[in-house]
Amino acid sequence: MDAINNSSQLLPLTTAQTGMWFAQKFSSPDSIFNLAEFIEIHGPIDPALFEAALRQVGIEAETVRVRFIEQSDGPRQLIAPILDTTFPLIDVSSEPDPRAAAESWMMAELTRPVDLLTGPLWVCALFKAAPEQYFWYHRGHHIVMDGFSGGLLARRVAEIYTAFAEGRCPDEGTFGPLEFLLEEETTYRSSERFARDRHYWLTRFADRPAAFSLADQRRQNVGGLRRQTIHLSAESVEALRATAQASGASLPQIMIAAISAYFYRVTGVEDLVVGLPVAARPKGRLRRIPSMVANAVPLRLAISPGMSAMSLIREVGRQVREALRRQCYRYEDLRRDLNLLPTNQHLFTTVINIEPFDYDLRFAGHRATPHNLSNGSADDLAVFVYDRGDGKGLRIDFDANPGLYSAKDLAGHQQRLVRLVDAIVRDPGRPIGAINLLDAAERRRVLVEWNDTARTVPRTTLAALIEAQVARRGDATAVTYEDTTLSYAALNARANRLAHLLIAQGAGPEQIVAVALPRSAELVVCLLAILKSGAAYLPLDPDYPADRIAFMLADAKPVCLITTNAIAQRPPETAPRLVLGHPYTADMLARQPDSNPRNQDRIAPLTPLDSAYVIYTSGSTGTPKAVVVSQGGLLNHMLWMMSAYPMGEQDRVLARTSVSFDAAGWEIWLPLLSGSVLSVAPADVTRDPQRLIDYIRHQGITVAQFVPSLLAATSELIGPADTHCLRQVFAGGEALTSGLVRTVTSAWNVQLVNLYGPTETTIQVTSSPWQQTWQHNGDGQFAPIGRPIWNTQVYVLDDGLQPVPVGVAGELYVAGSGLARGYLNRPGLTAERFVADPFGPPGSRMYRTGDRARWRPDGALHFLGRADHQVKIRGFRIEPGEIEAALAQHEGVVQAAVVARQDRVGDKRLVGYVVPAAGHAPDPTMLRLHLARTLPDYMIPAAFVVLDTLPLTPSGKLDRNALPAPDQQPATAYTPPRTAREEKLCALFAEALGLARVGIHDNFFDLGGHSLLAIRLGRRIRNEIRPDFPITAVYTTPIVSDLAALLDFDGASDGAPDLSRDILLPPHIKPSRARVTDKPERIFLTGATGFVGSHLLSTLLQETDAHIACHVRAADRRSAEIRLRQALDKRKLSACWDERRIEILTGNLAQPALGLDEKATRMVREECDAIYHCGANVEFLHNYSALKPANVDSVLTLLDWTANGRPKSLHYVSTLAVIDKHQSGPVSEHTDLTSWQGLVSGYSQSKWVGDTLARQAQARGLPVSIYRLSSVTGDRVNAICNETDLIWRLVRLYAELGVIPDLDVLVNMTPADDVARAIVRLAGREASWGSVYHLINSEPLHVREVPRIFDRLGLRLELVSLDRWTEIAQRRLAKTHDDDLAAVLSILAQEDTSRSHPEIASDFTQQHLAAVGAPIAPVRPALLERYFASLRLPEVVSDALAPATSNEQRSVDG
Amino acid sequence: MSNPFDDQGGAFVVLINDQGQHSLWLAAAEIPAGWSIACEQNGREACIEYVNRNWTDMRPRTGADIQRA
Repeated sequence: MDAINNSSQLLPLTTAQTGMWFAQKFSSPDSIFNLAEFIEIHGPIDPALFEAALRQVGIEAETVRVRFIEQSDGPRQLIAPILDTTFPLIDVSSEPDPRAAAESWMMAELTRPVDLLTGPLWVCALFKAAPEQYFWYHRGHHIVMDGFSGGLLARRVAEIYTAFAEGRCPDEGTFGPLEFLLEEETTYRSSERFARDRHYWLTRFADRPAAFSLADQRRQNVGGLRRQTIHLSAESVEALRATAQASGASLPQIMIAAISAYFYRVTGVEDLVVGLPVAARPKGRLRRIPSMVANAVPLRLAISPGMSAMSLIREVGRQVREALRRQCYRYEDLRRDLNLLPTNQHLFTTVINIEPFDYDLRFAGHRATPHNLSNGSADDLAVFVYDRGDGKGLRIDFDANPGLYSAKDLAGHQQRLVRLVDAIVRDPGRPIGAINLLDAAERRRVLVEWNDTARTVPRTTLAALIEAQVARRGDATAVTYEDTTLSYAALNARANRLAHLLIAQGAGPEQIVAVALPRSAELVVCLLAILKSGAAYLPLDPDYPADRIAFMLADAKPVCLITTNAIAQRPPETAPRLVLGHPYTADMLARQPDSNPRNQDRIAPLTPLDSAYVIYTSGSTGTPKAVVVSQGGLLNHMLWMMSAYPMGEQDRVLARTSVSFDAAGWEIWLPLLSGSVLSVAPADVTRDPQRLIDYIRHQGITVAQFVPSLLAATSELIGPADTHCLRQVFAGGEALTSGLVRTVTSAWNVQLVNLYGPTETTIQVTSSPWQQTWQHNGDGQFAPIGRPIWNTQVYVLDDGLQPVPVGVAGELYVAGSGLARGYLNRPGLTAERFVADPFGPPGSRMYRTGDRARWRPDGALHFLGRADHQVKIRGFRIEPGEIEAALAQHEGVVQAAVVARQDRVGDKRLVGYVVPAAGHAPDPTMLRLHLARTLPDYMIPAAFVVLDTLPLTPSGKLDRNALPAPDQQPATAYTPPRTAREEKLCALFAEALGLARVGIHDNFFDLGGHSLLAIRLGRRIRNEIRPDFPITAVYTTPIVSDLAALLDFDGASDGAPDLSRDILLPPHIKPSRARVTDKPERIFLTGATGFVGSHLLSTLLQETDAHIACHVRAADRRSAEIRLRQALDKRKLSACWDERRIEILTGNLAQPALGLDEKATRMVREECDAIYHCGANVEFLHNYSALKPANVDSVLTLLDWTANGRPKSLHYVSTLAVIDKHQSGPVSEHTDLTSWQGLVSGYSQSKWVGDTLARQAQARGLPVSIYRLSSVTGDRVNAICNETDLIWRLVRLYAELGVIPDLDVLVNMTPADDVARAIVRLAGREASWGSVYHLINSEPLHVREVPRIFDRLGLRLELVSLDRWTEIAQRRLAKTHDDDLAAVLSILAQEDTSRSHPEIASDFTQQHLAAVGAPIAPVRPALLERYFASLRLPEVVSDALAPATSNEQRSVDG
Repeated sequence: MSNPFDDQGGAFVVLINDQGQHSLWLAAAEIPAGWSIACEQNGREACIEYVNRNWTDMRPRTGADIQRA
């Protein structure tokens, strides 16, 4: 900074520069903000002349001399009079690869983080690669440079060098001063045009469309840069130019359209917003000033598969023209206007930058080629197209966030983009959706090779194959059910008799026979008999409602219904019945032959196209629809499965699935085809995990199928001995998460197979045996669903019915033998879902599953969830399945479900449901932290509900509709009331909330209470308990036990308490002689869950080695830990958590001995070396007597423990609120605070007493320090404030009202981390003990300065008199019934404004703080702005401007 | 991503193959081999209505090449 002399001019930053300033402040440290290129000069260069040219440019261009300083109200730039830098000349000509050597130097230089205050912001170097080849490297920080400026500077250097080389003076430079830029900006921002531009953009983006990404994983921005380059061939560029000429479009226009079309094709996002960087230099004067002026404008394109490239090109042209006319309106401003800043949302994260700069540079006649090196880090992806006019085609750079894209991802995108560009120039009229993105090899791979499943299926029937097993194993057991056992021969004989009877009744090919039977061996006999008759079986669950069964019977028109006497009564008589067990039936059966029915016995010969079964599935319209599956399809499936997962005579196969679901099919047929034992589980076993385990063990089951939800529930209960018989487990019917796979495969010694298949296919169409290697491939949230079965094809297609590339999500289609015939009697629906297959043999069909999937590189499929489960929240498209899978990866979670709920109108939010793993108790904070590692904010559920099990449908799938609303789940364990008052309150709480019961530790707002309900509850308490109950107390004291205590205490007395009675320190509290250590091994900390307390805990853990015993108010240790972790998490301090050093003591400050049990008391007294007493009851509305136990008695107790037991020091956190207005000033740390009569709130009264007691202990010589705090505000790192602090409630109100009372009040804000560090450092220095400290900063903020800071945030705030303010506030209160406002008004009403506060001195404190290196620095407006942003002030304002109900809404959301 | 077949406002045709099976199809898309147009371009509902009226026998027509059991 030496070069800066007083004559240097201090200038503000332009909006663009300010944007860059904050972007760097808030980005990852590895983010690059440098623009860099090197210019390859094809000829000899005179280095001395070159340096002279650079120095000349340094004189002409102010921007390369700019430096930044940070002032109290933000950054400033100043222009150094001379360029204080060197330009290295580096000779790499003797290196083996001179270019590589030079580039490696350049890359190292440009990726080095640049400090905005110290620079260097502009760097040049000259490389000699060969006698006739030089590289000029120049890079500038984006805050002083943009792409346009780079060109300006490069051309000017070339001009000057050329002049010097030719021995003449260069022409006079024409660069303008930076001041012009600022002038232009001021002019623009106050112009009509600015208002019109703003209106245009706001109108266009009023609905705030969400940004899209090509990346399949969403991760944090990690900074850095990954660049992948491809060139469009000269021929392609030629064709592009021809297209441009023919269509009247420009080349950039066509490229933007092509790239956007590509984005659409890969993401399917039809409302696509891309960013377009623009120069934003509409005037000649602006085009002569090198600096940061560039802006980005959003292009919003509506694209559909049928749209032609030509119409997209035209649309792009139109929009670009419109956008360019408004290109000066800054994107930063637009984000602020749209309120995207508080949640860090963007309109786009993907940008397209076409740079057709004319770069024909000559250095003394030598040609030069520019090579771009960096345009800075990309948020997500930036596509740069360079047309340097050298005839070599276009260069396309993908600059990507390395956290989101691998080099391989980028290369794949580029190759496909080039294919799409070529396709567009070949035929611009072709629909975008019809363009093939894949190269021939990849297309062949996904359509043909990975679907090469052809197998010859023998000419036979299932019945014949089972009959073959009967012939081989007649005496072996075929079926067991409870006590019933059927041998193969018996099963066959009974089925044959029934089959003959059915045939006699008209059953046969293309006829349907319905079965409504309870689970039994008889059920298997019936199904086999139907198969043998040649008819299709229609299984009906006898538990279905009668009218549902009636509907199905009427719809399917079976030739007969097989049922039992008990069931037969229920459905109406819509089909002929065959009642098993009826004497008539028995008689008829006895007369039938027991021989296998042949084709000649059947009413018609059986063909593979004939129907095998009919299964009803629920329809989206509410009417069930029946799927018809062919004999050939069923046979194909069974033969595939026998080959892929063979079963043998020793196997016992569990039939668990209800036969009304298709998945039951293989459970029944496969064992009978394999000669195994089919074990039909009784109904009460099928869905009860514990009974299921017992059944598996008792029956010696070797093969079983589970729905993942049930598998998870079962795996929780199962012990190693339980499953030793199991060898094979199939999972199907739902997405299988890798977490569950891990659980099952590690605990059970089984092969786990994932099966996938909609009902509209033959049971399964893909399968995937779990492979160890799949666990580690990074994309494994769901287990893969694998590859297609025999004679079956699967396609992943986009909206244009084109196959998507590997790794890209699309909709899954199924074709081949696995396809069902269609829906029974529903031709229209069948034609909608089973559509012509463009990739299969002529005339074949494919079924569109409605499931989303993507190909893995190894040819297995990944299931991504139902297309129609996608939800949109706040404009974001969300796959709940993705969140579920991420949740299930948490070690404490076995199962998870996520749904978007709208339990209240207008309040749609994500709710996560988790089933904890044994021995785990996941709490919301932990889960949120876990999810935040991989998911963006908007995908993190607003609420979590812990459930013992997830509700299941009869088929064993997750029953989303049965998931409870989160509000009805108490967060803490139920604790019953202890007193009559608590009992009454619990009842009133429960009544107001509509809950069955409420415990004494439950929080009104956690249970779903909001302010309307709070008022209702307050009124009930008035009616039932105390007529003068302040209704707002529900708001401030929402926990039953606290409210009961408040009522108990407040009942006692009113009027001013006599504090002098409570300031007598008992005589036995006196110092011991023993030395107290200043290196404590164990510290007792109260109030660790509070705002300051959590910062103290974090600082103590960081700055000391001590164990910290934290006093936490909670019912038990577990809830205490949750509270503590939540407190840290809320302030982003969780990183400090150290299991080994944190001890948790549950208690309650307001109780004797702080509510600690004997053991804990002993620990504090006998084992701690220091006490930090930070806890207090801070309820401003409570009176003195209500607060005395927590705020006074606790001090007495701790003073006692300080004086007795192990020698220790006490560090008491007090407040400047103990200083009475009547105290004459200035008040220093040594002033004896004798006056208390002017203290009005119970809080300041109780703290004054505590402070006074502590001072007496100091006077007696005890090692006690007192730290009086001012307004403790958000930390410097994250700027997270304690929203409930009075100061922020007030600021919020001011923001809402748009007015602030003109009070002569100084606000002394002190960042929480500064305060905590100050306390810990002072406490760690023996010399500092025994004193009072005023922890304030030296530059308080006057209330009158607040409007100016609001103004910087774009918020209006008017200074008005207190009376006027109160009037406005009262008027609002009358309209909104805002309780918070009421509470604040009541506090302000008590304030005596006639008298001002005495001046407070802190010289003594500042000296000590300097000595321990822990200064409390002033809160500058920049930090204050961050506070406001973290408090979401701009949102508050926009809400307040919205009509009336805003307060209600907010309290509900909060 | 929304499936083009579900586009209520889209333009569709109805295709038929030699099995007598019908398929809703996108008017803008190429017609796959083995299929021919049974109902010219129309709205989605009209196409489905056409199928409901005309695809009365949903059993696949058994060709001579189908293996007999």
